[in-house]
Amino acid sequence: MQFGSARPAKLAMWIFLLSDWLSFAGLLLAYGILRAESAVWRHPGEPALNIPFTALLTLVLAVSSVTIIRAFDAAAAGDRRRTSRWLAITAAGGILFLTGQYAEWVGILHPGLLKEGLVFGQSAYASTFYVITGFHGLHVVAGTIYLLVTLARNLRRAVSANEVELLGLFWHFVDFVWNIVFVLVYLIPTGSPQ
Amino acid sequence: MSAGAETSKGHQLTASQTWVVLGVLVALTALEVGVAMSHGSRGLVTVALFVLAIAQAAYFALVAMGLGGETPTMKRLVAIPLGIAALYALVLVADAVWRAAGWVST
Repeated sequence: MQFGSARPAKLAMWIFLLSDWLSFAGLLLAYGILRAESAVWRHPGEPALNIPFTALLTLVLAVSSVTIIRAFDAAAAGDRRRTSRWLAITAAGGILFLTGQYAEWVGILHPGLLKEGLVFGQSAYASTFYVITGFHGLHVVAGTIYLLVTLARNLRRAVSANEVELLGLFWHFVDFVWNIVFVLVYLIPTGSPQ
Repeated sequence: MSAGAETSKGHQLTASQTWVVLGVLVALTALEVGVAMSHGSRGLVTVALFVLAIAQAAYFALVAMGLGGETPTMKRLVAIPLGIAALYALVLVADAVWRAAGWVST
């Protein structure tokens, strides 16, 4: 079977992303089943999730998806300096997202969910929240490290557009999954705690 | 399928296209938040959010991830596992709702 002009590395990245997607799909399926089966999803004393704040984090990831496209464009044009700039902005987006997630979980200026009573293991609502957003957060950590390593390599010697394209695919995947997590975990109404 | 019969346009977007991508993603996210915070019936809001999430995911994969410019074989390679997971989700969640509603004895 031919894959046209797709390079083996790109094909391998897509296959990796698909297998990774199946991991997320397993978690999201478990979440969907638990939620559909439970009469009460959010119990009394458990905090609601902060939708406006998380919407901002979603926008941060959306912007970083655009900046990684600009990095690829700069790399394709052979502009090493511009590539570095866009890679740095994208990595800053990843760090900002992770800081936001830390603030949501633990708290920076305000108490986080952990202090507000959302305790892992206490309910399906709490456990699925931490497992799904934590698993996604690990992907953001991996993607940010991947970005910083590529940036450091680009500062020493120009990286190829193909390398930036593979990095971009991974980073887009992180955003792709987050959009689904945001809708399923944060936005679908939980109803009032009973 | 013969070698070279399919060509990939890859992942390149023009500067203006990337801002269109951002605009669409921001608009869809804003719409999702607006729907979630509306006071419509819970069932309707949930269905609307599912539809928006699928639309956003499809747009993201086809445009931002460049799948729309890939070869038909690559598109199938990606779309089939994605579709199977979504179908499986539908069946399992429907089953869970069915059992939660007490329509089967366990």
